[in-house]
Amino acid sequence: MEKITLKAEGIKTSFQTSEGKVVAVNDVDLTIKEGKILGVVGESGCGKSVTALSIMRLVPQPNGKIEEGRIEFMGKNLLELSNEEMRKIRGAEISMIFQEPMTALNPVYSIGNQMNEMLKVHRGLSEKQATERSIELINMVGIPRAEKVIKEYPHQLSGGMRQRVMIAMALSCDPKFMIADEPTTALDVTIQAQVLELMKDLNEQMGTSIMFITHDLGVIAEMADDVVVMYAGKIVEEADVVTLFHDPKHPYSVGLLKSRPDMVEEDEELEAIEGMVPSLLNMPKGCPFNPRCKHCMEICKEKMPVLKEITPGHKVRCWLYDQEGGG
Amino acid sequence: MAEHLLEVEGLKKYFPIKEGVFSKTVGHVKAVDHVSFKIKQGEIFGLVGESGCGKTTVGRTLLSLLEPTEGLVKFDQQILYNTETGERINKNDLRKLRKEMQIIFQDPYASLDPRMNVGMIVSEGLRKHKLVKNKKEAIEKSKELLELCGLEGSNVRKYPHEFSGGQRQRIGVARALALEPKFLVADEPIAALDVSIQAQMLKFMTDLKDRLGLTYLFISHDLSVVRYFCDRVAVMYLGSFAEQAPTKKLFKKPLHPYTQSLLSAVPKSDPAVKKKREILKGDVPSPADPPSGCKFHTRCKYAEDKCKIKIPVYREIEPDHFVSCHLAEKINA
Repeated sequence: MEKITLKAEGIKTSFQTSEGKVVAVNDVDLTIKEGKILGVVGESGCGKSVTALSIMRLVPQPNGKIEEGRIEFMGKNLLELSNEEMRKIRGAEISMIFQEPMTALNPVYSIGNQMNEMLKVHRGLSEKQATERSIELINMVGIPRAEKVIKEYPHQLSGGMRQRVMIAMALSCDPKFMIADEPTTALDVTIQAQVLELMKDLNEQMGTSIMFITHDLGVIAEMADDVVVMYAGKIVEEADVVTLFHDPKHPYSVGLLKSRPDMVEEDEELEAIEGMVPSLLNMPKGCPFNPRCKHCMEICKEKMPVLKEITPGHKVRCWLYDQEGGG
Repeated sequence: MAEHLLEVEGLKKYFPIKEGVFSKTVGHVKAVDHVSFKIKQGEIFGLVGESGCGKTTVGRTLLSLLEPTEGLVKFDQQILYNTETGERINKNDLRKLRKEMQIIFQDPYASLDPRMNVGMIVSEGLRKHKLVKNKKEAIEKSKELLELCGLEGSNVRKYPHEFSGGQRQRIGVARALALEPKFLVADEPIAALDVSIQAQMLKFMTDLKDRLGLTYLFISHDLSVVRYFCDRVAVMYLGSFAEQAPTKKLFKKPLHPYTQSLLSAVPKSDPAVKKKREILKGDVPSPADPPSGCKFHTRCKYAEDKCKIKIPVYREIEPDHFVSCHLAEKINA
């Protein structure tokens, strides 16, 4: 039996907006296995980042609220911890890498200053020890001239280097679990390849479990062991990466795979999913994908399907695969 | 009709770097450094490269939106400018030519004026060129254009914020098509869109090309999109072309080491295929201070002494396949 690093059950996170309440994440279950990479795919607004923020308990206050759910990590329910206790876990046991390294780093503090802070707070190191460790970490993520870099400020580094600094910071306290929210989206392909390679190495060498959020299916294919596909705040399909790419079941996953130019054969037509992602304020009744679905049936417009296991480890939320339930 | 709609020769665009109280020019950013190519009638010409390689500057300089430093651009047999002879098109003719060449921008959120309604945005060119008699006709024409682009005509009174990214990009296309151009520069038209919307947009652009007989310059950083969409591809690195060939040829047999590693850096789409990647070391050097000789030599694993000294000639190594690398024959033997 594989060990489980983090298990989230029935997370529901909502936001209060001027136009009413919006449920950004609705009944999401996630299991991250030890030493594995879980890929989370979906388009903008599908709730993938909010899921990550819910796990970190960083949902923007006061408008955002985690309404329901359980997040089990190291034998504790993260949602029941006090702010003080959560602060000890954040950064030390669970760390996060953000999409835009320029906004995630503080522009007025030097790199060394920001890295040392984590080590001093969480690991109780002295300034000198922390600096030594920071230099070691910066070397580890493949940035040359580490002694100089820790004295520099974020704007003096290139995008790829900033993202490496973010990764070095995220790793500084040897976390068990790391959330990477679109870590390579802002980078060029050759730099993206470097960063992905680095993350893969770290995952293999240090056994850190990773939740990897992206909209890029190519990156998922490369990185993930297991994948969940999200649409409009819900998980619509869940499988290991090979199954998902070779035998996708949900019409949305199928469409997503077919709409990537690198997935279609030469001379084959691109298949676009018609329509757009529905607004969270104005969700269609029944399955949220029904207005764009080619296989839409009557029941799809009436009732929300459940996430059903069709073969071991492969779950789909679609009436096409749930005849009994649909009746 | 001439075979080539657009001819570019030795195009250069340097931006001065200014410093100090008197804005003294202390150097130049060589954004585009001696680029030559031709685009055939009805062709989709792809321009790929990493950020800062000068692909957008090429697009803008072609359209005379930026003043070129040096070079010759010929559109439809008409010389736009030729810095060698000092020849350039007069203002009136340029304005007429602008109708023939249009641009679609990358960011659909920044390229539409939020204070104008869609009808006004789409018909701005028509009104400027006095192709419509009055406002009413302009609105009518906008409706037609929106419908051509897959949006409802009734949208003319709405404002840009009422639309999603994909719809805005279609408004941008409708505006570009209003003057019935022959040539469209599409500068990363899908980069800001979601995956499922990207595919819609690509299909739509292919469809338009077939219906209206357009010619595109398609600027992108996404190699898989270029492979799917373009007839011919040029790979840019630090302001110069590294390689240029018909798409199939380039993707089957890339000859320049940069193209090779660029292709290898693209994540594979099949998780069952585990490949060993060639990872390029280091970052792209600054275009203000490009390396001597071959600009790629600092990151090239084949680099020899001569690469550091001598600038490689951009040459036709095989029929219709251009490369600028000293060692192209040697490493691909």
